[in-house]
Amino acid sequence: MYNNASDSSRRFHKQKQPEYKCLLSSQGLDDIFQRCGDYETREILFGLEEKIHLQVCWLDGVVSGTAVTEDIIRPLTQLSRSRNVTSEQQCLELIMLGAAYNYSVKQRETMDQVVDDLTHGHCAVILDGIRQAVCFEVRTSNTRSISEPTLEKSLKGAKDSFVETLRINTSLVRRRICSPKLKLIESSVGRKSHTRVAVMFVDGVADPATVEELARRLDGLDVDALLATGTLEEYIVDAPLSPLPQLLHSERPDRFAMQLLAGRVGLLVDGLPIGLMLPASLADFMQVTGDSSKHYLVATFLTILRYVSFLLAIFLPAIYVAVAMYHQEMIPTRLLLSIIEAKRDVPFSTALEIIGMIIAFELLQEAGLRLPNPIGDTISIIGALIVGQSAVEARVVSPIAIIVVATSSIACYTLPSQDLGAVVRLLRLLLVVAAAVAGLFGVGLVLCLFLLHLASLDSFGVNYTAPMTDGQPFPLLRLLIRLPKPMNKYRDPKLNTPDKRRQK
Amino acid sequence: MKRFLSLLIIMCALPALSGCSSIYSNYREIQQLMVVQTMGIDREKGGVQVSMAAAAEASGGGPRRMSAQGSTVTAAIDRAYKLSYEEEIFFSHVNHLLVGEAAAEEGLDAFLDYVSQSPTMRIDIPLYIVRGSTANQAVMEVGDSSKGISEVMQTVHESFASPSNSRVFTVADTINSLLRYGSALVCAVECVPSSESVSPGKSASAQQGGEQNAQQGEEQNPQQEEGQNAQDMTQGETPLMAVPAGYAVIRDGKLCKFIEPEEAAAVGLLTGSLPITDITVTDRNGKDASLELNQGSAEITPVWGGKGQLKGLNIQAQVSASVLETDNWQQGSSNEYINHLTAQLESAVSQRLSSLLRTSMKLKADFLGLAGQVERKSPENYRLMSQRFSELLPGLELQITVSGQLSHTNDMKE
Repeated sequence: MYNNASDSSRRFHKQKQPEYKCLLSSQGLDDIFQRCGDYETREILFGLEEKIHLQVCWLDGVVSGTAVTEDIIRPLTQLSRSRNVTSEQQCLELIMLGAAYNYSVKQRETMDQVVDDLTHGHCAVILDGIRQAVCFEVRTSNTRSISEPTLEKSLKGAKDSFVETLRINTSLVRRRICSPKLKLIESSVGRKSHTRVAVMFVDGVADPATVEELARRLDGLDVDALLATGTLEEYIVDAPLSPLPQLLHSERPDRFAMQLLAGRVGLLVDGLPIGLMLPASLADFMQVTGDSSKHYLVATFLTILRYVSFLLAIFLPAIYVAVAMYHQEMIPTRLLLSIIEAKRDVPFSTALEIIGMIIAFELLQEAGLRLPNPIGDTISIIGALIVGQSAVEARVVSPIAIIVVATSSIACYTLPSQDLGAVVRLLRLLLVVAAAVAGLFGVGLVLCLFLLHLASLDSFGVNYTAPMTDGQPFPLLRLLIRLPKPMNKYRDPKLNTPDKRRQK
Repeated sequence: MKRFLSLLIIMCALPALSGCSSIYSNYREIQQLMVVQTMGIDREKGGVQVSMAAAAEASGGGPRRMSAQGSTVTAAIDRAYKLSYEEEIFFSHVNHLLVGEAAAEEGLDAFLDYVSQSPTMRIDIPLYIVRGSTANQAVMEVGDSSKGISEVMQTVHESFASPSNSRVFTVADTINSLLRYGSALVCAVECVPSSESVSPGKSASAQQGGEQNAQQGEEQNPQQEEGQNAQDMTQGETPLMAVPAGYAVIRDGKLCKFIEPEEAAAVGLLTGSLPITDITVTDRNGKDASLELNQGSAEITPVWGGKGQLKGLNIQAQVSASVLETDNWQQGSSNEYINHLTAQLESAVSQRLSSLLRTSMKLKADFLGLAGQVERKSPENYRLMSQRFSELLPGLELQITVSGQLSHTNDMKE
């Protein structure tokens, strides 16, 4: 099923374990965190008696100072706590049983564990004599508050979005699926960054093979850091060389939860306000969460419109170049005469015009993105209105070329997935070049290669072109037509969910 | 990756193996095309004269017209290509093909063959015979400075294709009919002086525009002087218009007769596309009444004397019409009045059918495709026929029955 399984194991080498071989001790920690300005350590006496020395360590800024003082240092140094405690082992047991006020307490025996805890907002109490440590989660609450999604606007749906803190993100999902069936497998990825990654799925709904495969790929991941979505995506997808997006993204917990309930497996990464979902096929990138809140007829119309936009965005410039340069007999007479009239006195060939316009459009977009909002808007206005208008008046480009490129670009931005939109923009440029070289034959050639590539893609065992190539009429119809919810009883068959029905 | 590269190489080789040469040689910039919309063909001094007209430019440049001569259509078009040095003549958008009456009388076969074999021209171009004139005159002189033959022919085409007429016959229809029945119907147009008078300024500018076209050719192309036959033409003094002028009957590839526009309804009845047309009949008070023929069909039943012996044709037509105009509207709803008009309608339709069929019989030309209908009715007998259907036509007995239905849609009493 997972034809790239062997490839992925070849691609990664297992992270070296353990990373820190020295025995657990406060001195060892000092050595490890040498020249780390935020590393703090303090020696305290358990119950303020000379019997037992404890070393309390934390990373300043990562933990809450008040919590360390009030919940750990204060109770551990209270005189009444040290009664009848004669050894460090007894002290450890007492701490584990509640001598310090913290909801999360973990006994640690290796240096790797303690270092990992410290870097993730824990405070460690080291008992050097017995080479043991107790770690308390005292993470600072200085995180960005939950805000409205910026990319996936919601009209009738929930208004919250993921933030950079993993635990807040998992809680947002948990609030939507209040069931122990929602499973969460956490692991740490990144040799240097030790980024927490959570795999989420609904037990009994998600395909266990997909969960297992994802866990295996994450386990095999050995990179320095995991600071961007793209890093993770490129390592875990089946075909990293393909420009096509192979994982669904969302910044909305409601969409994330919806996809988990549909049978997908979710992936949340600490530090990233985006949830990843898999497996994904091309058709999934054309779906919008908001459709489920709309009337089924409206949603169906919008879905069809999106597919039309997809085709327009890809083919319009290429077909225009092909027919204007090679196949003029295909253009209706009146349109042909209009095009000729519009192109009269333009010194450049049709292909150069279109390629130039596409590049100009991309430049404008890049300029708009890199600059602050007010300046970006100004650039867009100057580019689109003033330069465009002047170019037409100066007969540098024809109005029809601007119409073609603008229509294609607008169609491109109606696509729900920005990643897919980027691929479409790349592909249309390639098609324009092919059209300029060999007309519709060239377009057909590139299209065949693209279809070939599409057909060869898999995403975690699901064909990328599913359900279009499954030979099943009903799923294909469901691709375009959103049934009314009471009639939509079954989960997407391509996801191979153990529980096929979503309602009675 | 190896598989992908192999496929890429194979697919890149496909253009070379496809035999489709157009992808190597078909490149042309769109703005350099002279899009010919109307093409005229005449016989001239033993050769062929091809006239062509492009649409009027939106910027006000006026319609561009051109003609060239050669021994064949191909030679004449090659000549035109050579003379058009700035623009490439583009024939893929020819929407109207005109043939002069004289040329049509000599024979259409070569012209039809050229269009059917040409890689650039479409075979579904409507074909017209220019009645009483040459195609060159129609192409060069019809229209004015702002509107050329192409725009005028578009109106003519819409008129022929409208419900008030029968239908437009294309080159493909003509070839098909000639091959199957030996004869065909083709739409006819006529060049008539425009009813509107042209102001001197307007005609002067038209002349100037034409002269400019001609001068452009002379200045920039040295071949222009030696090629006296091919020249950009100026407009004549009197603007002409092209109007529908019935149908032309083509038999064995040659024009043999014109059918008047009034008989279009009968043509439509027998070819299966009845036009919405007006018929004037006499009411029982001896006054004219106008009827609008809006629905109808005709069924042709062959009458066989024996196996393969076709004796006659039984034509049963059903028409329905509504009263458009009558002087005696107060009696309009009376049964007697309606019955009289219905009888008049049946008589008028019967006469037209009879007249058309008699023409077909007289010419021994099955331009209405009657043979096809006979074959569909009795395929076995048809196969046993010893003579061609067109040979049998003059001796056939005709029995025409028309059943009419009339409604008075404007009953004032109601």
